[in-house]
Amino acid sequence: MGKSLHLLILLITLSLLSTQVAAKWGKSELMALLATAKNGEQRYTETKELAFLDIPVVTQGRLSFTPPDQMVKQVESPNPSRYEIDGNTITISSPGAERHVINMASHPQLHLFINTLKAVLSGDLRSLEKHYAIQLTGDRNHWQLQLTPLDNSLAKMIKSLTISGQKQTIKQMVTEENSGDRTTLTFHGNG
Amino acid sequence: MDKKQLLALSIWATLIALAFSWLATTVPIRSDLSHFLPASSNPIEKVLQQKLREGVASRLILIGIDGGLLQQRVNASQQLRQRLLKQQLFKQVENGTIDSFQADPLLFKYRYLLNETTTFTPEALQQAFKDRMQELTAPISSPFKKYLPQDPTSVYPTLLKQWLPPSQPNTVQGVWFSNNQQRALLIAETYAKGMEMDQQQEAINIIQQELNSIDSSGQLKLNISGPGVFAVHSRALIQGESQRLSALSSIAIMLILLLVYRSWRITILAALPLATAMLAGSCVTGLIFGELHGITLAFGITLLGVTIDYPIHLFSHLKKDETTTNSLRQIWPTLRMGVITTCIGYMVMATTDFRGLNQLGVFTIAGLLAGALCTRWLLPQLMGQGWQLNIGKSSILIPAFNLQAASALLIISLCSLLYITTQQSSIWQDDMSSMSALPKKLLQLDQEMRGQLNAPELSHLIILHNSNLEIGLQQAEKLESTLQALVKMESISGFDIATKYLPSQQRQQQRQERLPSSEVLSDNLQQALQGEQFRHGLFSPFLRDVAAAKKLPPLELDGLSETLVGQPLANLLSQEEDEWFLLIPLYGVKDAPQIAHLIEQTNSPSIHYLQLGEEGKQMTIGFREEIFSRSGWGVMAMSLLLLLGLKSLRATVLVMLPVFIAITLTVALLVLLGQKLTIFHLVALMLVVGIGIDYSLFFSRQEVSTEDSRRTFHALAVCTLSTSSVFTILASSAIPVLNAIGLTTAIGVIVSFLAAMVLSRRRE
Repeated sequence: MGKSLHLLILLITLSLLSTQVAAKWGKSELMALLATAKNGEQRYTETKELAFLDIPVVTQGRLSFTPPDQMVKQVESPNPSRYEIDGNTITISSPGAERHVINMASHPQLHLFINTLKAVLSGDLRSLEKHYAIQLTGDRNHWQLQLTPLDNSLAKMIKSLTISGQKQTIKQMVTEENSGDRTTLTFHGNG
Repeated sequence: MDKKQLLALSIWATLIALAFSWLATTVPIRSDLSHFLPASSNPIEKVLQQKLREGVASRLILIGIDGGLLQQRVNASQQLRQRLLKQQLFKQVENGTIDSFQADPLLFKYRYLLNETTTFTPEALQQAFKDRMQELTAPISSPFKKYLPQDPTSVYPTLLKQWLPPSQPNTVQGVWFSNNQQRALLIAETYAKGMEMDQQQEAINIIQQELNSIDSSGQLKLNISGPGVFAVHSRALIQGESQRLSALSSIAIMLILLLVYRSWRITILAALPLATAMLAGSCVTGLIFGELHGITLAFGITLLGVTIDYPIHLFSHLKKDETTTNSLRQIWPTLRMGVITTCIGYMVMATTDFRGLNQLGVFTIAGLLAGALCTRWLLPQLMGQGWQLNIGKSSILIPAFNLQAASALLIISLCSLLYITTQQSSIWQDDMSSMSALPKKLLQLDQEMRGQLNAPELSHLIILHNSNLEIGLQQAEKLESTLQALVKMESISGFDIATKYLPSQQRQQQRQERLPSSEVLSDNLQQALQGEQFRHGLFSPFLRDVAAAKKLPPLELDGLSETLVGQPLANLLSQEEDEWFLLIPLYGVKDAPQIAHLIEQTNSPSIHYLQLGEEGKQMTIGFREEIFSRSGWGVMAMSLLLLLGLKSLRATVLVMLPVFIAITLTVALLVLLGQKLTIFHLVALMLVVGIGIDYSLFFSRQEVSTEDSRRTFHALAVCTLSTSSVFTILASSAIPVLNAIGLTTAIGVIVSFLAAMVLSRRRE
């Protein structure tokens, strides 16, 4: 009897604890968690499934983000090239070609997409909510964030963005375009 | 004031009030400068002028943003473009930015008829697929991606590249910049023509306001230039200057009259004919032309300054023992003769092809007549009796005819004539741009920004014309090979031609015939797709489009105006009286004789090679010669009128001789002073002729008494003093046109007075 009571109290306490934990898990918590993540360089694999092609195109490289405004995407294979994003500009360089700089003001959709990535990486919920309807599923250990564009011009291009991760680490980002193209960006961690 | 005075005054006041309210409510004051440019009868000149005045080039505003940091300038350029595009006034604003790409449906449909080479061999297709694959897998996708199934060989993007201007400005982050990156550059196209100055002024204001609100730091500096900006600047300058000068002139005249007549009443009355003249001039011009030009008003008022002479003649002749009307009757025939001859002079102006000068002529004639009538009928009523000018017995010298002085003047005059004729054509200013009122800094800025934008200088042009557009386009296509040869020889660096945007129907049909049949294309496509990863059936829209292109009716000019080739076509094509003109600008001309030679070899009477600087000069010279000959006829008409009025050949010669002396001396003096003569000098010389005749007539009048002679002398001295002061003030202006008129008239009036005094006085 005493034992079973003990067990019951334990179960109740545990269930109380678990509901407490569940109640504390939400968009704000995820964002706060993401904001604490270290922003080092990460290896990535990008798989583009294009509506025009039978087989997907796979590229690999490194991606780094330095808050608030700098991002570098270094493509290593198959065609090495480097994309440096600094504030409003993208500098594109690839071996054997002239370096050129484009202003993102002339590519509004690209601009918004890059800003989204930056906002996710730095846990900026307010900036995300301006442009997307946000839906969070899963728990702290396996979460999934789905972003659906509110903005008309962005909605014309992008159907949805799905970001998934574990705790403060982003594992994967899937972009679905209206054209039927689907890009999966998978992070492999530091190194 | 008695009843008669009251009646006269009230009739005059009513007329003035009516005229004023009519003017203010119904006559628009125009500021469009084009009326002050000569109209041409040569159709090619007409086409050029129309392009210059109303063409796209006239509607462009060049914008430069200086100061601040590079990134600030880039951002300001982007924001300014976005904001200006939201304004109703601007048709286009470019700064190098390419907006999200959307193909023009009509041009996209016709892409295979618009492009030069469309070979769809398996090899060509294979190469195209390799290129497209690269574009597809790049991290930043191509704006043309969505058109891949329809246009795998990228024909449409190639067309777009071909349609770009021959040389593009330097860019920083995709935005136009000067080579040293210090200035962000934009080009705005207004809906309003360059000469529509109110809208241009508004456009300039909006650009300035928008930049101010973008630039919170206040570090950015706006530079702005272009035909519209020039027109607005000129107007502001001339208006400001005219207002300043007329205020100064009014003060000068008032002081002179006060000093001479020592009466406020007289000084104020002296202004009545002038005021009446201006109002009458404005009304008559408004009635005849339905509008009044700002420049007519400014110059006309200057020319009507002479009407101040009329009351002076009257005042100086008033005596205590005589009614005003009686005094007036004595001088009226002479005054009338002077007014009528002056009017004849302006009649010459009213009959030129210069619409602006027509207005000016009518304005002045109406004004002079009204001023004279006001002096004759209104002033005596208002003067009343009892006022007289006390003329001292010895205070004024009365020169008599002096043979020695007259001979000396004549000899100087003949020497002047000889001097002028030996200078020949070098006395003329043929480059009208030197008469521009604009400050050198603004012109330099314009040159600088055009250089930074790599805007080709339009100075060499081939014009081809035909009554049939299709035949004209075919001729232009034939000419293309000649032009390409010139590019190869490096005689020119490039050219623009309408057929690049709209090929002849003949050529379009040839291209249609060369397109492969559906079966052949389908086979080629199958071969090329071997080993490629494109989805099965992806390119069926391509097959469908090529098949459709083979059956399209040829593209025509109608309906293209709203497409992106609309603007270049509007620049390069023009229809004038059932004749089509194709303009082919040549860029980077190094060997003009070679061009002339090759064009001559085409042996076609409808192809002309023009060098615009030269053409402009020829137009100026032609126009000046016309004014010159008209002035000659004007002087003949004046002499005839004098002969009729004076009924004596000797008297007529005596009146005209001082005028001849005045004109020759004035011209010689102007040339000696380093002035190059323009039409504005010629116009001023016509004014001098009129004033000179007036002076001569008064000096040669048969007066009753010595006192009358004294009074005539007094009147003419005051006239000369006031007129020469007004025009000296005008000559002080830095604006070349005002300076030319002022200097010429001031010298002319003084010489006229001296010559008339020496020659026309009867022997005592």
